[in-house]
Amino acid sequence: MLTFALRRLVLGFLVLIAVSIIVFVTFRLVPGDVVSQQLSEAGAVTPELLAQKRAQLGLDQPILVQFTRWAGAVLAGDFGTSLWSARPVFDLIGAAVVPTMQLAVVAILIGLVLGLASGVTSALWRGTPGDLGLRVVSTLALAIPQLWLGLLTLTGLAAVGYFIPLPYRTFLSDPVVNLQQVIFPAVALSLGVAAALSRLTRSAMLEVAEADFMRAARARGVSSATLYLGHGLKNALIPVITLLGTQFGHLLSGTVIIERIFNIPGLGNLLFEAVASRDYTVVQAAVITYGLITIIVNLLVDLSYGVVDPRVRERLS
Amino acid sequence: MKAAPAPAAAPAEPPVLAVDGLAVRYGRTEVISDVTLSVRRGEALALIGESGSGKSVTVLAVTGLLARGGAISGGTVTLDGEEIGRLSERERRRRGLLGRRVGMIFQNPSRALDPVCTVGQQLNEALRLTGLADRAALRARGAEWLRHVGLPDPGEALDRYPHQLSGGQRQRAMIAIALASEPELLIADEPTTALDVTIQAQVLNLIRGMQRELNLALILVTHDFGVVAAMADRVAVMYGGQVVETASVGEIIRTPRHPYTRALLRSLPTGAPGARIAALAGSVPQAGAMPSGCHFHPRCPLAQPRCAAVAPTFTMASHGRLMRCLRAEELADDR
Repeated sequence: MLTFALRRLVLGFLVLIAVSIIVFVTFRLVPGDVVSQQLSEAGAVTPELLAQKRAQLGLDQPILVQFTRWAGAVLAGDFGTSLWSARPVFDLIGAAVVPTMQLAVVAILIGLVLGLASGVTSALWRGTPGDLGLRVVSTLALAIPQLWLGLLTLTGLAAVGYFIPLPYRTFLSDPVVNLQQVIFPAVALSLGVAAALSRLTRSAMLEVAEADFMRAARARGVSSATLYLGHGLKNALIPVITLLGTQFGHLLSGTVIIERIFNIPGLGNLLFEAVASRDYTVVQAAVITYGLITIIVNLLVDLSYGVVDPRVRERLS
Repeated sequence: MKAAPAPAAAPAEPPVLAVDGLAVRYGRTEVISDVTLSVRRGEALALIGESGSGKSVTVLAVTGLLARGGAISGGTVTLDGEEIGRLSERERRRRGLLGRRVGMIFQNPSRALDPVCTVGQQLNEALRLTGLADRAALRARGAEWLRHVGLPDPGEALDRYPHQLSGGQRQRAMIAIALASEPELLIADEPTTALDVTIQAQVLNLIRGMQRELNLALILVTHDFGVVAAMADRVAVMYGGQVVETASVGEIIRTPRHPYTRALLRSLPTGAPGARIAALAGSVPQAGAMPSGCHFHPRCPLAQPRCAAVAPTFTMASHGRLMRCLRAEELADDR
């Protein structure tokens, strides 16, 4: 188990290195660098001034030199400062990661509960109008883009006269306001996850229902609840967990746009603004943070197979 | 010793299970059309026939565990005088027909045990039917059953997952689960087919031993006459979705009457070196394409033209054998 986790961590670290190289190089190929952005509001911009500012920031160096310098600092724990606000990047990320993680975790939990409930129900109602209804709804939910769903939620809430309180509060400072701020974007984010999980859970449940051990369990008179949840769902959960891992990635990317729409000062909002203002240090750190979260979540997903399936548990240990 | 022995009353005792003229359909296809059999307390009935003859469907219909789309379309299933053939699964559970009164052992223990639940968890499901609820009591009784079926380290085996046991051990666990709810009727559907030859005899002896010890009615589904001779008191021979002959084991083996039973017995290896086996040509007809008249007539060495036109009924011939053959009376003399 431990060696498995360690191997995955090493692999994850290699992925992070690749991610940082890619984001470093590609983002510098984007037209309009940070200096031209910063000076665009000043009146008279001379090429000399631009060159001088670039030299100050070290942007005149070859890209390889810039990268090694930055990567060396990062490895030493120094993510630098924002090129705009001069605040330490580490603090910016640290403050932004909390709302994002809260949003993502709440969303994945809602999606998990909705998806499993709807998938199991659909399987039990197989072939009935109820089953058909759930399948139509889940197909629709899969097809709706999160962006549109977010906007729809906001306008829908406004239409019934409800406005999410502002400004943003963390859960610790004001849980009541915080939950109002989180629950709606979380639902908007979770529907896609719920739909995908529902469809997979349904088919996995139907497949398991044909298994010999289900018939044997019926033969020893187990109740329907034990049969479908204790034996059926427990066996159907293995493919569901796999999907949950990939869905978390989708969900994380969805937070960028949802945070924008719902004005949540999370990693997505930070990244969005940093990209717009070409704040290199912040963009690089934010992308690495996303990568790190994804790697950790996938590791947790892999470990959770063992919780569900004793055969996997054995192979891991 | 009981004070009032009643040996003479034994034959009059009503059967635990009586199946009469049972027919089962999957959709429009009739897979068994006329199955009649009965089994008494303390008696082992072997249900024998080739693959596809309808043995498994028969026992699944009795337990109410037919696969989706399957349903009883005719005849009756009576357990202790109670008609149970058309009960819903919920009603079966309520009346204790699943587990409590009828226990079932399945063909492939590797697939019939839930891979993500321990043996103990699955055993507990059966034990709870007896009213046991306390954790410690469940564990104690569970371990007792596992020891009873000959699992080494019964206490430890409770916490094992099915994949951690050998094939033979899994089937022993399956037997313990089927018996733990203390049923009066035990149904074993080809219980050794999926096992190594070396442990088949052990498992069969275990089932037979348990049946005798607990005085159970046992239905053993098999396609192996060797199993029948060792395991059963009576035999029902199935062909093409019907029971074609019923008699005691001794009668069936010494004086088989029905041409199909005779063919089955002749197709057994004799053990003599170099001896040829008289194989029965052809195979069981498909459920949707049963021949007219007697289902066996296309393969029957004694078939006459009328066998293709007239369907024989399952009746007692004058020589006292229950069988399904138009020429039953001519088949009185021994081979």
